Amino acid sequence: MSSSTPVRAVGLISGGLDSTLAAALLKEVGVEVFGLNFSTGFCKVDHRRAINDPREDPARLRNPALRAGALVGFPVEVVDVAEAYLEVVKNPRFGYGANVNPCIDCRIFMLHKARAVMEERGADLVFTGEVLGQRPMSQYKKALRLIEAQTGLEGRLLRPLSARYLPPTIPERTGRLDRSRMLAMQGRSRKPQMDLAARLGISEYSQPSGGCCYLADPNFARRFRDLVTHAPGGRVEPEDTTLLKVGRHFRLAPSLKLVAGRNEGENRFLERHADGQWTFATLDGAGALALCLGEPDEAAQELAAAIAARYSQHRDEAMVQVRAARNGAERCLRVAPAGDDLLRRYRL
Amino acid sequence: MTTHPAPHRVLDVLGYFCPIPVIRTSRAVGEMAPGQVLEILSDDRGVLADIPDWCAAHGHHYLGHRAEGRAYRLLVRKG
Repeated sequence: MSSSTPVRAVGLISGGLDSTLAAALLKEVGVEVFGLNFSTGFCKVDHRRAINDPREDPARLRNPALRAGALVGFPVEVVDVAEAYLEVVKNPRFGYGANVNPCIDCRIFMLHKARAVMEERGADLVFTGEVLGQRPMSQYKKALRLIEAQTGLEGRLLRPLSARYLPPTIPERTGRLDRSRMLAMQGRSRKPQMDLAARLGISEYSQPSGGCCYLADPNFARRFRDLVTHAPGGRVEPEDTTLLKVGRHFRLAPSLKLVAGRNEGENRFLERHADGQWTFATLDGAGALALCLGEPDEAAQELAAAIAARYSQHRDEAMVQVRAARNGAERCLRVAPAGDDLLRRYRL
Repeated sequence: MTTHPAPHRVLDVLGYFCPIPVIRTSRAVGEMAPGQVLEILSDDRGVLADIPDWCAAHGHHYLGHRAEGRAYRLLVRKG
């Protein structure tokens, strides 16, 4: 291949500032950029979309990676990896961060996929927006090297924003990519990125990638661990994690969980997932819809009804009528709304 | 959308949310000839932002949308 042939690069694009800048910088130096955006099933924006509130501004629901591609001018392929990614989350080889965020395994997983696309497309390298020392778990030097070695991308993994602190990639060594045009960012300050964004004319970008991932959220992590602990045979499918993202969660028994909606949108979402399961809501529907996962006996139904009553406009009444429904069958329960002690005992 | 040209193909992704509408749009457009029009029927509000972005990133032409109740019909001309 001649040195005048443009370098072709496949990038991991979240649409956050760093990956957008990395792509824009490479484009500026003449690299042909192709973006990959992996849909893991744990993205907060994706979930807001699934809630499907008709009043929501579509701009707040957009996929930031596609936006980055549109603004900077490069194609982005969205890839659904939810099923395989869940296995990584359940059994991370390099452990979790503060919650259930397997940051190193996550990078390895995505880079393996990107490597396959690089080979398929005959590209020269894979790039990311990683900045040395920016994140505690996955972006210190040792981790960057480990990730590179684990993915078999030695010499073909470029981090354009910190490249000058890292060993040169093959296209840099052979002179096809001008290393002097790569950058030397490091640390947690965002100022250098903001300055670069201004220089490259990038004024629109989403929050840093960690902020949109449920796995780094402590509430979600608690629910995820509970799910894995109580799933029959430890088997958890992507759809099992869907309900972890909405409502208040209560573990009523090892095989029984209750999810109570916090607003109309969540109630609608829970109703869409209620097939074959009991739901509980006050007769006038003024409050939470609570979805019970499992087979509640009489006592558990009363408990579920009491929790639904607690999260209704009737919470201060002595007794409340609650409708229990499943597959079109209904019954009415008269219960006292759950008190704080009861909620504390069962709440996840 | 002022005019709604007859599509060469209709993609029904009602009930599916991100990332499915974009993935299936990409696949459908990939199977069409340049100049042909794809109509996407979706009730995911986010497509109103994503499909124009996807078109801009991939060199296709977004022709606009029209609402039908809680769903949308979006038109894309393959570039």
